[in-house]
Amino acid sequence: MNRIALSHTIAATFLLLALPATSAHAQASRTWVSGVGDDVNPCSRTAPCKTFAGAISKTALNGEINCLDPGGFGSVTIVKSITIDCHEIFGSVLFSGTNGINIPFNSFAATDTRKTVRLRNLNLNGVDTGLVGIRISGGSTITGGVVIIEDTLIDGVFAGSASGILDDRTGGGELYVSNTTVRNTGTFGIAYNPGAAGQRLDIALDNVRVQNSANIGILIGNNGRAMINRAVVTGNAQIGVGASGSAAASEINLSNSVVSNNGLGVGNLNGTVTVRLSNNDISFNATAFSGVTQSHVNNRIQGNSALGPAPTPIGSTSNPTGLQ
Amino acid sequence: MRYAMPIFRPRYNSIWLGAAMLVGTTLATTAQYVPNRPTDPNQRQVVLVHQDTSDCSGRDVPNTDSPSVRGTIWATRLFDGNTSVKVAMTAKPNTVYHVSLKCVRQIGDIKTDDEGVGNLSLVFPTDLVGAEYSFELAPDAASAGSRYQSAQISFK
Repeated sequence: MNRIALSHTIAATFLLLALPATSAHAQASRTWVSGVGDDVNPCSRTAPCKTFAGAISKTALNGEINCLDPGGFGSVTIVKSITIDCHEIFGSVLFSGTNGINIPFNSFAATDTRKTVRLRNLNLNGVDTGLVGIRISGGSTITGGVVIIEDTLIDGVFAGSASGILDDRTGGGELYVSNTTVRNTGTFGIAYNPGAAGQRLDIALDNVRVQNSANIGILIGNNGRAMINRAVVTGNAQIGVGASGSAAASEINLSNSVVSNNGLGVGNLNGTVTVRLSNNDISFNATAFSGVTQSHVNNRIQGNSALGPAPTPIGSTSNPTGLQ
Repeated sequence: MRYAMPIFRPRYNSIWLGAAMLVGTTLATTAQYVPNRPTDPNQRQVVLVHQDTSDCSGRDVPNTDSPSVRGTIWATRLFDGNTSVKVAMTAKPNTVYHVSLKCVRQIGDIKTDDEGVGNLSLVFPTDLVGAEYSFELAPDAASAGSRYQSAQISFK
């Protein structure tokens, strides 16, 4: 009997020791979602999950969620460094009355050193009532987060503060958006709009199309520093590209882009703002400019109903273009 | 000699237009940029939050954007004595939620599709409620964690 009891004790001890190891391995570096998956599954390739929300808890820090076949994978809140990549597969998120993807950096663990979220090849549709396609917030306790958005379409967000991509974190960091279309939004297309000065956010938008927002296509607010290249910003009811720096200076370099058919093309909206323009087509807006803007004297500004305050040439009298 | 750019030379009407646009879009009193938005004085818009309880008027439900927000409700007072309500939510797939005027009565059902999206439009007599009220959405035999509360709708 004693030997049996001893063997039971040893077995129980091994079981207890094994439990933490088991749960530590429950999160995989790569998980899968499928249009016909189920969130009770482990999200493996042979037993995929149904939603991003179901897969994210089974995905390890710095891991990746991929799409096995086309489907709608639901809205999700991301609270750790992760990649969601549905490249080559139609990966959609419908979000009615709510946000599509939330990234609240204050909910990230302090031990999450990368603080990096990568989103690739997603199709976010607010079905006319969505709030925000990709909502990035927090930053007061967890600073310096990075969000990378590639090859993504955001459409049909018209509720409340409805925006395609809205970032209002105050802890600084980086926001990169490339090869992405944001269209049909109730307020902003892509906006960095923090309520306080905060730390500086570095923003790079490359090959983005921002169309038909009810207010502002691209807004860069307090302490935002944006390099915008190869953008098509068109059909935005109030303003195409705007910068606001009421609490801290904001800065935009707008290059190689089209700003057309907006209420106001490029606006220096308030506060301390620097807007530099190089090699852009700014046409067919009700008013081309408001406030002080600067130009490398190589922009094509034609067909606007009104010009507004003309941009100031960058550079000196001897080199008015400021080109080097 | 000062460099002059013919196409940039402003005309006086352009200056006035630009100045008017600048004044119209300047809001120096708030740090966050607040866009001009036309509002319907008879319409209110509030969020629908994933939480089990609230008081009858929804005063303890924050009407702010957060990861707990699962939907949006628009209420519009009509001139015929009714209030029009539109509910848009994203919640548990393939589920029927009963829509109630909190502490008053049920006024309809909303069914989510297989991606969890549900939309509903209905009207109710405005005199069913006072100037401040809220909504609750719950499935049959609602268990903990399955209810949704709206923030307060106030026409005061």
